[in-house]
Amino acid sequence: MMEVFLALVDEHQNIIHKVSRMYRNTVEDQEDLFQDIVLQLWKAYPNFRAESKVSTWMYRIALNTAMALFRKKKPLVEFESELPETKDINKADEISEHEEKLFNALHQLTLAERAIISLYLEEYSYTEIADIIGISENYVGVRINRIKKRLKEILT
Amino acid sequence: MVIDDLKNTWKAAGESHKAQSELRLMTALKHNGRLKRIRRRLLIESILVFAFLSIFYTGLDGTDKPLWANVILVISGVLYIVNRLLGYSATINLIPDNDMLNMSKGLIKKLKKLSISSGMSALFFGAAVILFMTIEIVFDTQKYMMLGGLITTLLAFTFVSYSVWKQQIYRLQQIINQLSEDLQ
Repeated sequence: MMEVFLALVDEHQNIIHKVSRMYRNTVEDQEDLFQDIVLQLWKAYPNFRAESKVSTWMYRIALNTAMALFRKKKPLVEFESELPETKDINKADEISEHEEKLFNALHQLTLAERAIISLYLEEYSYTEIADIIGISENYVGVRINRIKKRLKEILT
Repeated sequence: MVIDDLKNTWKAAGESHKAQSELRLMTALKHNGRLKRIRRRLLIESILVFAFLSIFYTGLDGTDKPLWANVILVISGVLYIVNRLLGYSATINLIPDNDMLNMSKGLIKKLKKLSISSGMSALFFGAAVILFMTIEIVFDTQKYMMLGGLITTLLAFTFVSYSVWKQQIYRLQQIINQLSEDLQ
C-alpha cells in the first residue's frame, strides 16, 4: 500500500508544492505545510475509494490541511543573491518572475478565494470545484468572476 | 497577464521535486516538524508537572496540609497532562476528508471543545497549586499581595492560551463567512 501511495504522491507532488506556497509565506513554513499535507494524505489514503480523480482528492486534503492548521503570519523577508544589473535574464528567470507575480497576487486574496481560484487555474469544472469547496455550482461561477476581476486589478 | 497566462503559470509552478525516500519519511508522525515541536513542548510540560508532583509532598510540606488538598493537587496535575495528550491526539487526527465548508464547521466545534477543556484543566491545576501553597497560612498584607500576583499571573496565562484558540477559531469562522457571504 505504501509503495502505491508514494508513487501517487510523487506523481502529483506539484499540487502540494503549489498549495504550500499559496498558503505560507516563508520557505520554512511551506516545508512544514508540505510535510503536514503528506501526513494527512497518508492518514486519509485507506479511505480513498478512487471515486474521484487522485488529483481532486489530493487538492481536497491539501487545501483542508492548509486551512485547518493555524500559523501566525510571519513577515516575508527576501534577499537578492545578485545585484539587479548583473542578473542574467533568461527564460527560466522569466518563468520564475511570472510565478512570483502570480503567488504574490494570490497572497493578497482571502484564504477561501485562493482555494477557489487555484482549482479554476488547474481547469477543474465548476462541479468539481463546488464538490471540493462545499458551495453550489452557481456560486462557484459568481465567485470566480469576482476573483478574476480582483486578480486583474492586483496584477495591473 | 491574461487568464490563460495565469493558468499556464499555475500549471508550470511547483516543479521542485522531492524523492520518494523523503516522502516516505513524511508519512511518519515522528518525522513531522510541527508535531515534533508540539511533542517537545508536551514532554517539557509533563516533566515539570510530574517533577513538581513528586517533590511537593516532602519539599513543600505536603505532610502538614490536609489530605484533600494533596489529592486535589495530584488529580489536577494528572488531568492537565491527560488533557494535553488528548489535545495532541486531536491535532494528529484533525483533518477529515470532507468538503472545505463542512470541514471548517466541524473543526470549529472540535476546537471549541478543546479550548474549553484545555482552559479548564489549566485553570484547575493553577488554582490547585495556589490553594495548596496558601492553605493554612496566616495572611498579612504582603501575603495577600503575593496571592493577588499569583492569581493575576494564572488568569493572564489562561487568557493568553484562550486567545490562541480564539484566533484559530476566528480564522476558520472567517473562511466560512467568506464562502457563504452571499448565501445569507
